Amino acid sequence: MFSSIYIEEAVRDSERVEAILRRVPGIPQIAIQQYGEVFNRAGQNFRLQKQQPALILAHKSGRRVLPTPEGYGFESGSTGKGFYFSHMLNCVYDCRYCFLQGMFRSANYVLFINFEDFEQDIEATIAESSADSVFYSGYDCDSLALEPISAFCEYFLPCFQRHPEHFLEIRTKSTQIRFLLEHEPLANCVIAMSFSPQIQSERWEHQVPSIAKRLEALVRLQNAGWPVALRFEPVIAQTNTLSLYKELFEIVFAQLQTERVHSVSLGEFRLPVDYYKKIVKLYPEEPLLARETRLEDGMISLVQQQGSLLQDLETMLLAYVAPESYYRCA
Amino acid sequence: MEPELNLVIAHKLEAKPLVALLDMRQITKQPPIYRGGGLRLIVSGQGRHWAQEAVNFLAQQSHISSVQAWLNIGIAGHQTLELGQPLLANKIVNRSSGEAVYPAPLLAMKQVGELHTVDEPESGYPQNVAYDMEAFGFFKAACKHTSLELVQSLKIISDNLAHGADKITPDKVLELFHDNTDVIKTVVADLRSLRGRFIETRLDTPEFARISALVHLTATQRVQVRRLCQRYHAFGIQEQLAELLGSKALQAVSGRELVRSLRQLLLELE
Ligand code: SF4
Repeated sequence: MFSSIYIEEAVRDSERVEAILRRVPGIPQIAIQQYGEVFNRAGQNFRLQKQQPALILAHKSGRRVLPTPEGYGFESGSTGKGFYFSHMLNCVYDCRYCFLQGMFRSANYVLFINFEDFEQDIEATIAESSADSVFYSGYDCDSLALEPISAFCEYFLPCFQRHPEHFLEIRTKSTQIRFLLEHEPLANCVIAMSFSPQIQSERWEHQVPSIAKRLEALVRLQNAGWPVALRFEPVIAQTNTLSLYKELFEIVFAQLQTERVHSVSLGEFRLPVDYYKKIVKLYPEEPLLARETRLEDGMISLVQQQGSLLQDLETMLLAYVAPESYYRCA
Repeated sequence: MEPELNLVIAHKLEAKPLVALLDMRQITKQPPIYRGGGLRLIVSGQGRHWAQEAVNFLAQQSHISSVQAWLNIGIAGHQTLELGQPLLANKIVNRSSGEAVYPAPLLAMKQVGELHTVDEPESGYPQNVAYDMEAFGFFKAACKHTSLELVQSLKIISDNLAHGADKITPDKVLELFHDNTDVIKTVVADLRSLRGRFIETRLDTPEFARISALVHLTATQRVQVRRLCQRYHAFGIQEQLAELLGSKALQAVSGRELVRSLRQLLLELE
């Protein structure tokens, strides 16, 4: 599962680290002072490391809860504010369009194990916020994918159980839902699953569970009473995009109780230009990255993407969901 | 031909079995350098300073754009490991400064561990780690010349608390290397294959090489044309690119016109 486990000396004796190490026995352990000395080094190759990533267990200091960029999530339609926190950096999956490949120098996974400090910061943020604030956990990782090892949900759900007026969005492409199914559902904890059309998923979402498996997980969560959400991101234009999405929407909405879906969003494929350049260097042979692009306000998008595609998709989506549960991700 | 992998070895005694095993022949006497089968071996002398010097020397002999992997092989002491055990370093500590570096754990080898580079031979083995005199200097220097995943250090345990370094003989060194023939061959092969995967993303397309010979390009145009050629390949339409380049008219174009033509055709075909 991991090629090695790096452990910061300062957290080596913590109970959480002990528990994690018991869950993944037999992997070489390497003592480090500070995660940056492995994770942030210059001269690393993300693509080579992605073949066999290591796990880094570390302490997160500094700011742990940050405001989301404008228009990031479903708080934009309400009075609440959006925040994100990253208990983990990097993802077990390998989507070719993923911005993490351009953001981080290393493909190793960093798991910050001082959950208590994150919780404290979330509490402090809640104390200063009006109701309806949304906390996003899957910003720099997939929050569910490592659940059997990190026990992230197990720790954080009780925090949001105490604050039913605020939301937690767990954004994921994972089917690791066993803990959630064993837990009583929380109306303010939304499991948001991302989907792309079948052909695109097969082409670009390496190691990600199939659409059928993800949908099955979402249906089971919904049946168990969990609020579920749909994230159709990133929308990547190709010649028959509308028919691909038509097919995807038909499959997805045929299986879910549509009126109980918490929210649905669309977001186009966009990357900060620096990340894009780094990803191109890593995967020069990737057709997606060879397409004609446009640069606007420091962001790269596909030229073919322009026009009315998102509007057309919105129109299609609104045949299934109420306008108030839809938003477009900026 | 540039080598794919450089071996940095402290002593002639350690180099001898490797030269035989990897089928290399000596090409210079001072410093002692051997070549063969895409490999290059240098005998650096003892100590991290000389290991560092040896890396820099080989790097200077190489073309700036060549991508090479680096492997340091040698004997090492260890508090508890048995004689003859191989160990691939996953952490190398400079004992005199306390600084640590971390070779990427990407090779298949299971016997991995911590290695401390010391300035004087270590006979007390105070910690349960391996001890050598070169790896830290080697690693720091080699990482300046390539991606750090391509720099590794392999040690064979030659002495421990029960069998001190004073018992190491030339025959014993030969025996240790001989007993680890398979391990050495595997690490060399794995590292070469890792380099192969790395280099795949760096290779210029044949069309770019042709253009570079035909048309004068500014530095910016070189970057643009290089990427444009890669994009043709990414789309699998390199034949159209070859056709375009084959046309006589193109051979007299300026760099600017060439970039425009390549871009135009790509837009039409995308
Ligand atoms: S699942 Fe999300 S975070 Fe993970 S690689 Fe794919 S896009 Fe990136």
